[in-house]
Amino acid sequence: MKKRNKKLIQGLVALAAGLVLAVVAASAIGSADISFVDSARILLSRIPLLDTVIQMDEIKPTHEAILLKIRLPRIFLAALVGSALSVSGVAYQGIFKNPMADPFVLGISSGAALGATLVIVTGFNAGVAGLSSVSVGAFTGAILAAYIVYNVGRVGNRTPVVTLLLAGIAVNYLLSSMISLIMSLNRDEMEHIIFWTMGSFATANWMQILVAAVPITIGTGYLLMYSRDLNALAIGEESAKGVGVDTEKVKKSILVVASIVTAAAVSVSGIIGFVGLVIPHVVRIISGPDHRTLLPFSILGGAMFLVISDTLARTLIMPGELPIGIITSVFGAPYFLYLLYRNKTRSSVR
Amino acid sequence: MEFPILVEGLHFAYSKTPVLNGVDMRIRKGSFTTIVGPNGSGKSTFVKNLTRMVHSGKGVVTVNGRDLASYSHKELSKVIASVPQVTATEFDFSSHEMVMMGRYPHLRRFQPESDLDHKIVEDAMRATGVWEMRDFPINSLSGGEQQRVIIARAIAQEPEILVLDEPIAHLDLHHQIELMRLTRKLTKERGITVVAILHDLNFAIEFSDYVFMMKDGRVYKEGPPANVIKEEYIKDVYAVDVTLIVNPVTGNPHVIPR
Repeated sequence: MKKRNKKLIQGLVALAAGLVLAVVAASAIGSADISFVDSARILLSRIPLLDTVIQMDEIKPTHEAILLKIRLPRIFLAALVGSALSVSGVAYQGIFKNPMADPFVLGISSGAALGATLVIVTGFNAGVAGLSSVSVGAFTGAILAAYIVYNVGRVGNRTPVVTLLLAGIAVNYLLSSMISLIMSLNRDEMEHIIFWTMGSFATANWMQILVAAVPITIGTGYLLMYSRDLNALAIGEESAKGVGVDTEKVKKSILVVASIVTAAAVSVSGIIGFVGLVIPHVVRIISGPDHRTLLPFSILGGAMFLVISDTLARTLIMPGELPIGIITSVFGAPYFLYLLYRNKTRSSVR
Repeated sequence: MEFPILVEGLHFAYSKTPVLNGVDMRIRKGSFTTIVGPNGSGKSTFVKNLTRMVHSGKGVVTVNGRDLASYSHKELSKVIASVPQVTATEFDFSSHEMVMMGRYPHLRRFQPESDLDHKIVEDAMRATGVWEMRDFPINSLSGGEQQRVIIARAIAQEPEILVLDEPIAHLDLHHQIELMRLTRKLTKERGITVVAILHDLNFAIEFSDYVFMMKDGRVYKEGPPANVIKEEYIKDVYAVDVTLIVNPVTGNPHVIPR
């Protein structure tokens, strides 16, 4: 419909502008004092065609280096992970017909944490293609956990939502207790493990971003293709079948894709809670449940949310750093509660 | 195609429990066909086989002369639209968005809805009297209103066959009659074949062209309503004594408990 397209384009433009603003602001804030204008100029100078027009004379080379080698990779990684977690959150919520589902329901978080923990305590060196050993361990753990949950929850050729969720909860508990066990046997590495599980973008580099961006981008594109199917599935499986969705096939492929997207994000960032739950929800409250707007808005909103959160994480207690997971919860949760409350009072009026 | 739906010797079991034990049905094009029978007689399971909500049972089912199993889900949803018993959702889709989903089978991926799609959705919503509620979230509607939205969605699919599983169970008397008249009209005006499961035998008598009475996963009796809904058959199938009187308005038989 014309109305829907207009809403979609307006929303996309507003969110994209917000994201750009957040990126520029984030790149200007930090221990080295780089002005907002300077950081905007450094960023613009990197865009082909614009590089000839931008005056770079009085900008210090150290500032340029700090911006391009340290702050920017971090900002981009935060944006990438933010959209990945939001997009997979949307997908899981649609599949499970449950707005309370998040990207970690299938045990991906605890699988990743266990994988990372094992690498940390064994000191096993498995880094490939710009990824650290811990990232590789986390990715492998995440995929294995999702695979186990899927196969436990599966009944023959079908994947009933309830058994899948229950299997996810059970596996989450099992793996978490294994992590606790390993930690209590390796007290030296405890801090390292705990910090990894709380999430951080401090070690971001361009290679890592590139490697993680491939599965995340392809996966996100795939999920966008299935927006209508997600709409139909969110109503219920019978209803989706009724309008021509091959539910078992679609559910399976979306689960696999969303799991890979989540695993890729978690492996380079640690476990950042709340994003995948709250962003889809906030977007839904603002612009409705249609996945054709929900997915693209969540991609941009999730990116913006983590860019802002990470900037706060690295600047609030300068020169120290807070784990980003704390920021996402401290700032996200009250806003989420406010929206829920407002929405509740609004719908009860009707 | 005189009989768009042909069923021969259909058997179906949920894991090991047999539910359908050889169902044979021929459903005539453009007819209002009703399936009646007690709880557990296999009505819903039969309908779920027909709409492929469950994996295929043993036996032959053809739709428009073609094996049911050979249809893709999308192809089938252009021929058969179904109205499931209950639909609940956690998400606040509006009624209009809900009915628009009926157009999905007709749209390619990324193909936006056309003016024609909007016209079809509007017509369907007007026909079921829910156009005024188009912007309301589906969850804010009453059970009966939700039911009419779902039926509007089925109509928007522009199917040849409309399958309804107890469509009037959640409706008040006024909307029960409205809905039965509406579906009846669809058979007359659009030539749609309606297959409905009904519990109310009097509604079955008044509105159907043809009735299948089921018992123990088989068709017990079939024919025009007056030939099937009889005291002795009801006694046999429902284990209850009833009396048939004559409806003073329509002249049809009318079931009253004894």
